[in-house]
Amino acid sequence: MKFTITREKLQEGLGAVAASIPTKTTLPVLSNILVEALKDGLRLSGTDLDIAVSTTIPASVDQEGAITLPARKLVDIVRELPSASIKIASSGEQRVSIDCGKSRFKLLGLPREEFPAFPSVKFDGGWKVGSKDLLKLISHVAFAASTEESRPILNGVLWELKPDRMRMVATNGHRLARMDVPITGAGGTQADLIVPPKALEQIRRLFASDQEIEIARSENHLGFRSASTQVFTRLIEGPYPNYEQVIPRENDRLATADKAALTSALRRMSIVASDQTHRIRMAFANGVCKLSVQTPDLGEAQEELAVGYDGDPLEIGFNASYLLEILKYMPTDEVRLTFKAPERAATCEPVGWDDPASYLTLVMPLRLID
Amino acid sequence: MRDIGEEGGRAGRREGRSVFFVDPPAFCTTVERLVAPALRSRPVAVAPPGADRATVLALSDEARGAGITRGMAVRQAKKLCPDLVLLPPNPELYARASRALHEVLRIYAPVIEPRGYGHAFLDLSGTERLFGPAIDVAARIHREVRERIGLPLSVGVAINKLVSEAAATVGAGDVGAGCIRPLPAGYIAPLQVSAGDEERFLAPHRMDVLPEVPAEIRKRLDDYQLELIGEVAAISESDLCAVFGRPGRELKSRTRGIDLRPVLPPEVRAEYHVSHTLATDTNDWGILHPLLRRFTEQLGRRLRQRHLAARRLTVAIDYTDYTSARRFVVLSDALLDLELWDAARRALTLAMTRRVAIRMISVTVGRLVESGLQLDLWDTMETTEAGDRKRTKPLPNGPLNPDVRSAAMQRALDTITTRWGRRVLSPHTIHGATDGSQRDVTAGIRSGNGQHPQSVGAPAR
Repeated sequence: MKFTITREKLQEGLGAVAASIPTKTTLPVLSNILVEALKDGLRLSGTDLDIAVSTTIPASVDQEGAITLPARKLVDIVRELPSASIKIASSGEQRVSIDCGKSRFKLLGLPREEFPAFPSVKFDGGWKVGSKDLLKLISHVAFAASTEESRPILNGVLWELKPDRMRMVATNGHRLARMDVPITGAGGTQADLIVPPKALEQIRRLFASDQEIEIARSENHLGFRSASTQVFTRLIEGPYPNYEQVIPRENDRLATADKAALTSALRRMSIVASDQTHRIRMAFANGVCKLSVQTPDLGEAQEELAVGYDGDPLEIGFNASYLLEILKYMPTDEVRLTFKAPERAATCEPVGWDDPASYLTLVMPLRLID
Repeated sequence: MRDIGEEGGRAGRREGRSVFFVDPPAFCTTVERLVAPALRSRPVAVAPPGADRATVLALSDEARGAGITRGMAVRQAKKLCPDLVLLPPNPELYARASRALHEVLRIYAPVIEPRGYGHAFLDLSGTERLFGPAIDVAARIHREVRERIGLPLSVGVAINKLVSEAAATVGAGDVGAGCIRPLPAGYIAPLQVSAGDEERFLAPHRMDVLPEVPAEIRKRLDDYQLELIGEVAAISESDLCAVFGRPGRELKSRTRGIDLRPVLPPEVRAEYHVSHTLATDTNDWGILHPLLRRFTEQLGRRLRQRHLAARRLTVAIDYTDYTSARRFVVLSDALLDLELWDAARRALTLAMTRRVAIRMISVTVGRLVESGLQLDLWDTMETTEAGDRKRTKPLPNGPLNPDVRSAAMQRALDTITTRWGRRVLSPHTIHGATDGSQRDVTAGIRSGNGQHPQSVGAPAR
């Protein structure tokens, strides 16, 4: 194996793959990046056995070959090298020399045979979607997935692919985010996939917003492919909870608020809120939302915020961090909150969003003991 | 009434704090005597029945006079005092007596922190204008408890928990083997330590009087022949830290009577604890797992009764060679028996790193938070027109929401046991065993030793 590549291109490729390398692993080869010098360039691959990433970057290849090299060391070396062309050549199965200007490194690796094979996913007959739509779904929904292990299915994001629309739903049992995006000519058949958020985060990071992404699934893997990059992920198996039944249809108390003002007020209140429950109280009446928090061991705080609300007075408690997170992903300056009762789900939607997508979030209140 | 250092000290009436420690001496045996007066003047001890290796959990003054101590093996105690009357633990009775005592305490104290059966810290800060001087309130509490319930009390009054507990210990003369003064036959006068006089009050007393000092530090101080609190207080903090490490700083503070811990009500109490000494040392999972199941049921019931959830569960074990180990697992607001039991088994697996039999095992749940505040999307509550909360059925969504289903099952079990008693639903098989190893829990416990768990909450006194 022998090739020459610019430092910037190599750093870009390593950056794409390095995030899929596990920091701790019992299988040493997983700490390595598979470096393959091919006719059409240099292919870099990494995996943690759940997610696999592969990217191809332009390089001048003198001799084809492959080796696995320790990811962290390779990234550190390339970062510190001067901006010049880098010559990498292998000597034997487990050793490479890296030359750049007057710097020279010799790095020990592992044979490529030890690197796990990527899942075999056939992209023929798969789906084709614009990366802009896919990235929009990911960035607005994936945050709501659960990180706790008690309900493993909620650790995934439900992705419904239909001929005319895509929908993503994520929930941790206390809050939920759902977004629909209309699509045309996606191909493929209708499918419901449960994808780990970590894989979606890789998609968001690796694919530019103006690409067309090919998507295909094998039995329990899902593959994403663009011209230069491939991502494979294991799918979470099992039926996703029936989220439709928890979306409130009868919320008849509506409030509109300025997102920035509400966010600031919530941030101020949450300073004094309990570190464990983050409980704040919101009292809506006559165009005013009175936010208050009372933490026995710490203190209390109150604030009034002008909102559009003319329904019956309502007092409701929330986990401030859930509300703040939802507001963070709201795409408009104004948001609409809807309620039914203090112990029923509240919804939060963007107001005046000039986008064909539809976006809904809901959050369950915290019980107000007094 | 006694007041040590009436003139006050350099700290004066610092922050106006007034903390009481209420200590009913020999609480368990005294309560047993209240319901069985024939036991009066006889040496009495409380110990689990039917096991030779059981240890004494509580004892009367007569038994103590015969040389028996708490934690002594029953067999040895019987040798020392052949007339010893052994009673099985009666947690319901002690809990009832504790509740009666707390009803009196609640008249005066806005904040009560129970500490095991009968014992409690009270924070009466700021009530002086309402009830009068602290020492008078202490006397009133003492008199009312004696008249209403018949319990003698030792009450210590100080500006913090540490010194008030030490004062109550001094007042009761209850310092174990190193008894400072004999327990007065009748009235035990409340003892107040004025603000600023903490160090002067503690100095002449033996280290046994100082609470919250770890056993290993006590032992090392004993090795250095440092017996009095004042002797340790005279040593510089840097020297104490050189010997004991970081705990040396805390030891210095404690010997000077400094304690910043607040009096916490039960809702924010730090942890619940249950422990058990095995009849026969063993490391047989078939015996230990059912025991953990019993423990976690007790702890789970306590958590649910108080609307609390635990974020940490610790299992501690004492091996047969008197070495110990402890491990904890982090929980996600757990309050269901199955969650706690699963965590306890995991913690025990982590703790049991040696192939040596175990003689004692304990489970502690800590980092408690209020439970049920965050409503779940798939488990909704409705408020009726009368204002009562009515829990609707969990929404049907298959096996995907085990939390909701488990919670519903736990509620059903609690409803049954609340109405018909705990024994009506004795666990016969271990639910949720994923390895298919269902076993008869009752049989497991019986084959263990047939003892009752030693205590729930702080150890009985």
